[in-house]
Amino acid sequence: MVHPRGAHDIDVGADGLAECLIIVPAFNEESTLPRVLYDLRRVLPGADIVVVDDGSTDGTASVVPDSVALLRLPFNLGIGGAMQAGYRYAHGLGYRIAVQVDGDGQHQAEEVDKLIAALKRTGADLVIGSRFLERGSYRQSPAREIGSVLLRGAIRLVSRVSLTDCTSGFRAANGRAIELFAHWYPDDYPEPEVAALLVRNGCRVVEVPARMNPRTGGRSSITLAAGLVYVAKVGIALFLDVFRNPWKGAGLDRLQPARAEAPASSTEAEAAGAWERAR
Amino acid sequence: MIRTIVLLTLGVLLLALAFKRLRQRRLKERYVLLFALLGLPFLALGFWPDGVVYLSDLLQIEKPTLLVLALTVFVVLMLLELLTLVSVQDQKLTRLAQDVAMLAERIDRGKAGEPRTDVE
Repeated sequence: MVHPRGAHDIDVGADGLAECLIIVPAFNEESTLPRVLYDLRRVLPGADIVVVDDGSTDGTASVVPDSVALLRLPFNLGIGGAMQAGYRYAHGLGYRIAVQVDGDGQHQAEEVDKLIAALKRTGADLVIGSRFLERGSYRQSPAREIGSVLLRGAIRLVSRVSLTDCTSGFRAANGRAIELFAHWYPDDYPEPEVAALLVRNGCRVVEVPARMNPRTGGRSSITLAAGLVYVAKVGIALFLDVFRNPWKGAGLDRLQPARAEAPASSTEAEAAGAWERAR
Repeated sequence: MIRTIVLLTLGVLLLALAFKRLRQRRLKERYVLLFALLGLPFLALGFWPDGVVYLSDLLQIEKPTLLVLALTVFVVLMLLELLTLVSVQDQKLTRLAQDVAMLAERIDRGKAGEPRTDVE
C-alpha cells in the first residue's frame, strides 16, 4: 500500500498541514455545511478535507465543492459509522493527523490549529477540544450538566482519567489513534467511549480549551429522555469495555510507543499547560 | 382433544411457514433446522399429548408446566442467537457502506483527472 504522505515527520507550521485530514461528518447539514467548509478552507488552506455525508436526504452532498473529498454513505449509519468512514479514509491514505469538525457549524475553524498544535506538542494520541476547560461563555442545560457529571464519573472510574468535556466531537487524532479507529469504532455516541478506550489501551488523551458556537440548527436539543438513554448506553459500553477490548488484534503492540512511562492521564492543569506552550 | 388439535395446528403452521419462506428464498436453508427444532416438538406433542407428562416423569420435574418454562428458555436462547447474527450482519453492512463510499469517491477523483489515491 502506498502512503503518499506517510513519509512526513510531524512538523509544526502551515506546510505541515498537508499531512492533516479534516473529517467533517454531515447529516442533513445543507444549510450550515458551506460556511463550515469555507471557513476551514480559509483558515487551513493546506489541510485536506473530507466530508462524510451520512445518508443525507437534503442537498448536503451538492454543496460540497470539488476541492473537498466526499464520502457518500449509501444509507445512514449514525455518527459512529460515519466517523469511522472518515478515519478509514484517513488511514488508507496515510494521513498522520485527523481532525473531527462537525458539519453543523458548532466547531470553529480557527480553533483547529490549537488542537493540531497540542497534538504535536504533547505527543498525545487524541486531543479533545473542551468547552468547559476554561471558564467561558458556553452554557448547557441542567439536564445536560447532570449527564456530563455522570459520564465524567464513569470515565474516571474505568480509565482513571478526568475529562471536562468527554462528549465533545471536536478532536484531533494522531496516526496511532487513526489506525485504531479504522479498526473499530463505536456505533452510537462514540465520543466518551473512545476516549476511555484509548486510555485503557495505553494511549494519551489530552484536553485543550476550545471555543464553540451555540447550535444554529436548533434540531439537536437533546430531550431529557434521550439524554438518559445516552448516558445509559455510554455507561453500559464503558463498563463492557472493561471486559473486552475491541482493538485487540489491531496491532496494539506494534503501535505501542516507546514512551510507556508517560502518564496516560490528562489533568486539567496539564492540558492547560499544554495549551499555553502550544501558543 | 382440543389440545391435540391446537398443538398439531401450531406444529404444522410453524413448519409450513418455514417451508414457505424457504420456497420464496427468504429463509436460508441453515435456519430451517432451527424451525424444525421448534415445530417438531409441537407436532410430536400433538400426536402424543401425554408426552409432557412422560417427559416430566423422566426428568423428575414435578409440574409439567415447568417444561413450558424450559421451552421458553430455549426460545430466548434462540432469540439471543438471532440477535447476535443481526449484530454481525450489521457490522458487515457498516463496513460495506463505508467501502462503497470510499470506492465511489475514488472513482469521482479518477474522473476529475486527479492523481489516483490509494484507498484501503
